[in-house]
Amino acid sequence: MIQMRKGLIVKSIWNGILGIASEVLMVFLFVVSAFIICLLWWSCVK
Amino acid sequence: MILKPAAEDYRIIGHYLGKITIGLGLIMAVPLAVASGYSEFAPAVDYLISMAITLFFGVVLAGVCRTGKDLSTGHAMCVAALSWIVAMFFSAIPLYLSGHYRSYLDSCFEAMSGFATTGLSLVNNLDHMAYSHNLWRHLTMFIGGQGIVVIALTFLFRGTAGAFRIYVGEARDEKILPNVINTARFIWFVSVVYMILGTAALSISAVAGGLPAGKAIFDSICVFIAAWDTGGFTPQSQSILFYHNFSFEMITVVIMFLGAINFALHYVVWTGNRRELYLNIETTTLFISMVVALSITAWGFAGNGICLGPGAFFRKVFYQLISGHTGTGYSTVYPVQFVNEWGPLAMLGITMAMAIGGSMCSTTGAIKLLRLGIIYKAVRQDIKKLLLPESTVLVQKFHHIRDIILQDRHVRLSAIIMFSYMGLYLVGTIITMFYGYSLSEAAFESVSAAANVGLSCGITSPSMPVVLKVTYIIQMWAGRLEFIAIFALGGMIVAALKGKK
Repeated sequence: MIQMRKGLIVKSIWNGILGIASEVLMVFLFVVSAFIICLLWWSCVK
Repeated sequence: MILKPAAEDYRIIGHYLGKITIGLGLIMAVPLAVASGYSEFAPAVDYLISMAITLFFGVVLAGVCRTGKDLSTGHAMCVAALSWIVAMFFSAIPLYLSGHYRSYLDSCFEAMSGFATTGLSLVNNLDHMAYSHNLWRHLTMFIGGQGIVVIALTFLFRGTAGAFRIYVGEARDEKILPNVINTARFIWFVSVVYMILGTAALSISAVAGGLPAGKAIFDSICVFIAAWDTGGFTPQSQSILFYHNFSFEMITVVIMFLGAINFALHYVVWTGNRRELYLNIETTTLFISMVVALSITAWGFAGNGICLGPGAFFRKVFYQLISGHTGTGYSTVYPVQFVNEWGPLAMLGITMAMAIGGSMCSTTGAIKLLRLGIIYKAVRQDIKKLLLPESTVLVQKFHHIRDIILQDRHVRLSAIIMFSYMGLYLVGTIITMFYGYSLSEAAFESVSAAANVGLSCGITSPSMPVVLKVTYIIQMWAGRLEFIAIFALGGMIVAALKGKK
């Protein structure tokens, strides 16, 4: 029982860490795509 | 026929309002402790006076209106609407006593800007403000962003059935967990986890950028609070421009984004469903609206003949855009640059982003991505209906945590709120134009106040007319509560005046 509970706690902490990493990755993708638009803008204006 | 509210109705509202006021008075102990820690004796006295007045009012109100009855939906809406006004008046006391504001109205403006997580400021000489007062400005953002009522739900209410009704009144209509108290506690949990990570990242960046460690940590705490709650206050008068630090700016971009995400989305992602990030109607709408707004802004810059490099464009333009879209209001340009350099088209791009805002059940204001996504789906469904044979049965779905069939009630509620926001933006724009500002400037400032953003093109200053100050206070309040609670309060006042016994 204690082993099972420990396993659950470890799993939920791991899920939380992966969750935070995915959210940061999503923001990173947004930022990269915005930077690509900035690059395109610059190449057009130049 | 409208019925006049009974004495019991006033008593219920007064009792819960008193409880929330007590909570606010207790939170003033935090800046009091900071003032004592930094040996700021005059501010410490300011907080002692303010705490005494706030607690006295709260205890008297809760005691006089003592009742065992629970709140109905109407009561809860009135409590939610009134608690923000009461909180503004009491929180403005220490700010006014600080001597950094021209009048009590200016300090009320600052307090409402903080609670509504707007970020417009009327402070004088911010760079020489006491630590405790500066922290209090940011704490108002934390209290408002987390939700005055969420705080009360977590600490003061013990599982009352009316608790969820006030929670809804405060424009948070998603129950992340079956129990509303647990929902409020989950919101705190997410915020505290990101607070530890975000403050640490900002502190390291600030120290690497040359700030002394003590100041770096204090500033990082304040900046995190304001970015996470999509507020926009900074401890310095030049916003994020003060730091001249690329990594610091990028960390704030990440925090602003995360603050604009739905807490329900945080919950499902943190419990293992990571695909939701890329399927959710809110994140997809955010991506599309961001691309559209950035393209309009870029077009505006090209029309002005301004040629910034991609890096500079990213830092000077994308940063303001994302700050506006998430409703934060952090800035890496001077306010006058919006008018002098950006021009009307580029300003339109950012005004559009501000008007849309972030996710439901987050700390942002404005129309919000989910409503925009729903209205887009409804329009698409209607166009499809026109093109297909009449006998076709069309079922339109949208994905928000789970697949949901689009119904008329979703579209109606989204449209009501969207048009209310449009009306609020318009009224503010007209009043601002009355004082001689151009359409693009007036729309920019009005949308910034009503959508709780906080970017300014230079109109908001201590010397602006009193009518504009009051207009923006009302816009910030109405924009933050998303109208329903205010409509309910208006209905209550009409019933009290014209109702029959």
